[in-house]
Amino acid sequence: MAIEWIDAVTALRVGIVYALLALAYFLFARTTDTINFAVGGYAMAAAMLYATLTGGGTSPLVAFVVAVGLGAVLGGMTETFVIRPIASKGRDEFVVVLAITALLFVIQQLAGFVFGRRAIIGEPLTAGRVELAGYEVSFQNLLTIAVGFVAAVVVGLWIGRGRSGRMMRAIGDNEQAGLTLGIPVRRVRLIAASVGGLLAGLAGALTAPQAGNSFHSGVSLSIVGFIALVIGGMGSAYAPLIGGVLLSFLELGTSLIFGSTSRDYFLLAAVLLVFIARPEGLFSLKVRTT
Amino acid sequence: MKTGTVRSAMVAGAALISVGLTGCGGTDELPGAEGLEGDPLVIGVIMDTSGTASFYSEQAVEMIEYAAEATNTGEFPVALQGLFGEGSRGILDRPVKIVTEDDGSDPNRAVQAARKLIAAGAEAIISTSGSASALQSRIVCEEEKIPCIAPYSSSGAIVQQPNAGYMFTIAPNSTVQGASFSGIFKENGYETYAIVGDSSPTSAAVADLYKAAFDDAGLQMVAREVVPVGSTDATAQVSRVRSANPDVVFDSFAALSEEGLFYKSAGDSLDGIARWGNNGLITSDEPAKVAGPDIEGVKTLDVRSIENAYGVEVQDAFEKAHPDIDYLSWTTICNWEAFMVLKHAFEEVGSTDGPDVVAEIEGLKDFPSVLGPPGYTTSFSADNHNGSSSKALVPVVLEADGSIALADDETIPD
Amino acid sequence: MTITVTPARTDRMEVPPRSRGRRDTTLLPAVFFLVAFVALYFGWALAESYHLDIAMTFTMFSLLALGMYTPLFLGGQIDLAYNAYLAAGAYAVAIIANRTDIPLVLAIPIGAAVAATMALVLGLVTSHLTGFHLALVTLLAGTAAYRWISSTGAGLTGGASGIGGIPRLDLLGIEFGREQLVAAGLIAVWLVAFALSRFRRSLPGLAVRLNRASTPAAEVSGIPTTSIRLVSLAMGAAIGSLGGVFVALMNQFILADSYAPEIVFLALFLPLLGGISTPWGAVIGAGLLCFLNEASAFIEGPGPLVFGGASLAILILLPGGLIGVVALGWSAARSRMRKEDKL
Repeated sequence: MAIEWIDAVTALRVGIVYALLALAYFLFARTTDTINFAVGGYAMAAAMLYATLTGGGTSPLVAFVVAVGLGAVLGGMTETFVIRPIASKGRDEFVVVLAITALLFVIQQLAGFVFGRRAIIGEPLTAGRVELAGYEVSFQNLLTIAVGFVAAVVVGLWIGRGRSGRMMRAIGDNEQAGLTLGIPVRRVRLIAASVGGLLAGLAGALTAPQAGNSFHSGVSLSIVGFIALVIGGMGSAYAPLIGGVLLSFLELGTSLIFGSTSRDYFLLAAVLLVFIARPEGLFSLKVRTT
Repeated sequence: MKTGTVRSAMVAGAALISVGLTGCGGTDELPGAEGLEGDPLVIGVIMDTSGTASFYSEQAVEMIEYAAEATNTGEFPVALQGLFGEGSRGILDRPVKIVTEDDGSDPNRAVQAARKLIAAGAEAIISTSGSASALQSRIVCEEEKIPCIAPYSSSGAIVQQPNAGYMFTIAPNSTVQGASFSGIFKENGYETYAIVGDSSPTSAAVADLYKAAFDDAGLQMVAREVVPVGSTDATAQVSRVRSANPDVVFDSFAALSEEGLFYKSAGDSLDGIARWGNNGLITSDEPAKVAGPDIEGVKTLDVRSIENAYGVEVQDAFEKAHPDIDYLSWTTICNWEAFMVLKHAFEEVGSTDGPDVVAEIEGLKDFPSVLGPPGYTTSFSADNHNGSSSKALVPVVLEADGSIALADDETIPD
Repeated sequence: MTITVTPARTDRMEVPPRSRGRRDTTLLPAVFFLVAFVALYFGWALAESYHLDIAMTFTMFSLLALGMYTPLFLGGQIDLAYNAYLAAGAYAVAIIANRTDIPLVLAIPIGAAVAATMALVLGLVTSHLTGFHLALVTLLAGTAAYRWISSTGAGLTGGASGIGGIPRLDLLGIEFGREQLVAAGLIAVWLVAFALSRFRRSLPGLAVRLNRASTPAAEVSGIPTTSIRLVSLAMGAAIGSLGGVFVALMNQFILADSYAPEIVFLALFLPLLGGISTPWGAVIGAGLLCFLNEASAFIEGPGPLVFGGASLAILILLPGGLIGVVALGWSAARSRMRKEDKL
């Protein structure tokens, strides 16, 4: 089976979306100490909103902003109404994770009510194609890669260098200490959650024109994001980016070489291999040495 | 502690109130049944309001309710008037009542739903949920001796023994369709094929059935690919199909969105390879919407013909009664047929005795059909619980905008 | 990974200090549920044929939830391959009945052994890793198993076309029809929950919980932490497989679609809905799921929305799950009674 360079563009385009989802997980995990399985739900809701709006004649750019905004709102609301109330009672972490999984069900079924039960697809942000070395590549694909990459890098810089990003890391390490130091814990957590939701919304809005979006696709988006997170590791804000892209290359590569009927087995084998070889994830760079 | 107790009580109270408020719907008058006497004859419907079958299941229930209303008022299309006799209303002169039960496309809940419908007095069950639900719930039909129809379930396994004694299907199932597709492919001189589906069990099973039919016809499989449910890209599958270079690529998708994704990812890169798909392509507008203009030229087999006046009459009247429906699935009209088969069988037997009704359906020959070309009729036998033959099938081709046109250049050989 | 699974803080409130050492707190709920099950069976399940199906669904979800409860709340491990364990039990029944001459009753230990072996292998691969690694590996394993059942192994399992011809189990001269199977299922649920609640109090049970609370502390006390973790995983998987055995025997026909990974996400809530301080919480959670499935016919909206919404409300508002509500009500009533006594 011949693999051509154009396949790498496809893998990158899909992988960047996985990476955004993984990064959303990362933000929730670092600040609220929660594996937020609802991120796929945010992405699905944003994708369906984008597809519905553009299908109704709204300009793709406006729809894009609104859809990404929906992701941010959902992320913030999850922190305010689900994570914080449960965590503040000092309850088991599982309670939060499970409440979030319940939330994912609720988001999916509500999306089914609001957007309908058929899969819908969005209009591309930009139409048109460009010819690159014998292949036609759509602007939408290039834009997806560029926007996703920039977003991941900006968030990485924010966590590494930005003021609230640094405060966020501090809270993630020890919330009590953060409070003692006078960090506005509540606000920083809310910001991180909203940014996490925004990234998931971005992932959704970017995929909305690529494939059918339906109310039950939240779970599968959550799962790929989670796999990307674990593969990449949580040592650095850039680890989810690499995890997502790697996962996508793995999926596409094994499908191309061995055929797509055995993809699920290869995925399991690859993850087991990663765990045996590098249990902390592939890229667990230490960003904080002090 | 105190606030906890208060809050718990509030939650419990609110839950009870909401159950109470929405629970008192009251019993509706049966539509169109004014003047009909006797206890209502109950027909149970297994539906899916939340799972993967929810789109076409909703239309199916509306069609069954429409058929029940038409039956209660006695307003039948011309094609049936002779059959049921002048002034026929209801079933066995009793008003018909439709009772529904949701199974969320979960086979285990389908068993529960079937028994619940029987407890509610159902004398027959129409299953509008997924194939898996129909497969699992037919056990109940046989155990409780209740005639069941899964009008459009395409899995050939549903009417295969054991456990199929009380289960019928209306639309041509995958066994019939497999033979029809093979015939068309042979006629066109195709020698090799690729089969592409999704990762759902239903798609895998349907693909196996089609593969067996194609292999029997002497065609050779050169690629088999799977698009995982939830994928956002299918270029790897397209690449492998293209490099295998089959004469025809056949799609056995059960997941409609992924079906569209395959054609979208293919774009024009499968030019020169004939593209045929199973009738999921016209179950809803999802495949065509997702694929966009790349769907143009993909062919499939429909069960509707614009030349069948009876079918067109029913479909038009139904659409008029439901102006909110923006895409009419091919599956919907099969429910009309299922309902009328039941009415006819009940009335021929003169009672609701399950075994007798089943025997009557098994003996049913040349029943006027809304399906297929003009004059096509439905027939069953003890060995064949799938009412339709390949003659009900109409080759169609999808246009760039997703609309369905007759594929004049294709014919199904006998 | 900075995420680690920390001990259940609710563990603290499970044994009220008042009663510690004075009486055995596992007996009261056991007696209560025994009475409740007997009443449920004779008063309700036998009344209508479809009640038996609901009772069987309750049995299946109870066993699934109790299975997940075992490693999750005894050892702090999230195992998400329960769809595969359920399938191991169900397909052991179907395959033994159809393709072998082995007595059907042996499907129970064989299914349990297959499930336990799977869990052991997955546990071994992820030993020394955090709970979330195990969660991911088991999720993928559950997905791969589903894929195998529905496609690669369809020659053996029947895939989506299913596999039927499962006869009624004949054991010691008793034919297990629908009514007998539901009775047996309820007894199995009761025994498993009771055994788990006893196990929690026993010496190995304490060791498991100590392991969960602090692995180093457990190691220092000479507790074999690794093997305890593996045992709790294997035990849970075996319990889950029992649910599959019952469903297959009841329906006499099974198909691949029933064993999708989605069922795990549903079962995952159940122990928490009831209350995680005791295994009986898992049983209550399963009961609530069945109740809400039925209630969704009255409450506007599809089942998953009703169930998800109710779960969310309970998880946020009721810290102790439904058992917590009962406990609060009980203690409130008692303190009121005491006040009245004083008056």
